[in-house]
Amino acid sequence: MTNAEISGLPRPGAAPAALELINVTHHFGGLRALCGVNFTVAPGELAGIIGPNGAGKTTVFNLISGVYKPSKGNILFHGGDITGLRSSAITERGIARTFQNIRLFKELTVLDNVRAAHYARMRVNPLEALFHSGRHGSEEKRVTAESRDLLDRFGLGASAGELSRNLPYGLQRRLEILRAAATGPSLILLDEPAAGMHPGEVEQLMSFILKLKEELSLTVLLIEHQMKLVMGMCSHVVVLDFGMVIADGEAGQVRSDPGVRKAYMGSAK
Amino acid sequence: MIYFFQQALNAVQLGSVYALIALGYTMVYGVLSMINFAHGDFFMVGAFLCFVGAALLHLPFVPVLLLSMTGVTLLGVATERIAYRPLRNAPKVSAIITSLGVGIFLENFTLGLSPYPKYIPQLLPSFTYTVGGVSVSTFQLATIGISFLLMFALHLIVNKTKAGLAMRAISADRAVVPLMGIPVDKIIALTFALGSGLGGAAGVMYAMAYPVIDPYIGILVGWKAFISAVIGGIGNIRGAVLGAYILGMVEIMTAAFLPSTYRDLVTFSLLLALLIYRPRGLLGRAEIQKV
Repeated sequence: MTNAEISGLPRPGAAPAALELINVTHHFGGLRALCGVNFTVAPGELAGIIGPNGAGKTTVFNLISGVYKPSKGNILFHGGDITGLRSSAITERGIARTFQNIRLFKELTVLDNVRAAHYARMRVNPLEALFHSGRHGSEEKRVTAESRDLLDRFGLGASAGELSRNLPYGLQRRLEILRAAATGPSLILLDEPAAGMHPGEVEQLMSFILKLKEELSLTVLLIEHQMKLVMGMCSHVVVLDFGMVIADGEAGQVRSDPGVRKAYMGSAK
Repeated sequence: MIYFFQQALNAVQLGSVYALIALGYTMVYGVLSMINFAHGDFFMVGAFLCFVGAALLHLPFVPVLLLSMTGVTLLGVATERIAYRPLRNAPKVSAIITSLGVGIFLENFTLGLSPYPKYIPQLLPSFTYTVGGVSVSTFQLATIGISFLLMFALHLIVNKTKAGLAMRAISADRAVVPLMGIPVDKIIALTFALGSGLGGAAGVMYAMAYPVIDPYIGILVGWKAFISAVIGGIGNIRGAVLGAYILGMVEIMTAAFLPSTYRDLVTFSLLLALLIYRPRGLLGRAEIQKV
């Protein structure tokens, strides 16, 4: 499969978009963080959001994942309205995310971080768990096995028993992505996955993300400042500035957009 | 020497009661970073339910224990639902003040039902075994044995079950937990249920050892259990148990070898000294907060 096929832009008349933001506006008190944001992400696409600091990129993620409720507008996930749902309900529907500053369960082992993320898909209630019924036991075994398998496949198997806070930075980033993947999503939101990484690490991370996307058939939407990663991986790029979409299209096209250049470098005199 | 071992056994008995209560403080702190000051009064309600079961309903020991544990479990879950959940996102001090209010409510509600001290009838046949000069009573055996059993069950729940994993995850980072699909409210309710149930059991153990109870017994015992949790590192389950047995040992040994009036003086001095030298408690980890 070519890169373009994996991340093709939405075509009119195709199946509903994996993600669609319709006129999404968000205020923090009197501060307008987002204003009438519209964009779509097609199923199987690898899309990127870029923009200067404070443009509202993370706010978009917080609205999609239900951390905040939008002041106005709608968010559709595979055609279904998820605007204002609770975070846990959105996770259950299949959207997972990571954070700009890593938010692992630091006091838990690497394996337990991934196991905790299986919660959404485990079908036992607390009472069964208390009485250690048979269903609970086998469910536990299955989750542990799946978690180990995920860690093994993506290069963290050797650290399974370590406390996650003891992992080196690059592995913590990967673990956070795997933990998100363990919730069983079809769409994964990555908030600056390459922050603080040097060029060699960025390249490894890119192949890590591509492998994850392919093996788990994910749609990926990521926020990133490292242009090498965005232009190297995302064929669809959305540019935010001051809470508004100032460009939306193929990576090459966005790169040469005069408005985008202006937002990043100031206006050319 | 036999005197020392005799006292050590008493210390383990007292420490077990403190441990069961301290677990409630530390678990709630673990998931909510909130100190539930009503927990000592949950324990008191457990002791009163023991009175209801034993003196009024004439039930045998095991049903009395179950009655107290179930009753206090329901009380804890209801308190969380009615009094604490609406304040979940309010400043922490609001919830703490509310818990003090709940405690005073429970004391006065119990007082309102009947203002006289209650005498708990003997729940177990009283035998005393002598092992190498140390005498062990059935009460002591029951208290220590049941406490160990309950603590072991808690250990299994927290470390081996899905719900326990969710509790530990909430304790590590509550804000992220919903994004894992974990229903935070249910897990917090379960934490209250477990902590309160242990407090109810402690009420029965205490009432067997000191069979005259009044609505204010939860205050001092609650404080001591809270101190145990702080000594061990509040939020840390093993720490709470460790702190409780240390405190039990210090109290009993002070009373045994020094004038017994020094008991609480020594206990609280220990807390002050520890807080100066190790503010996070024995097993607590320093909290590094990035701004």
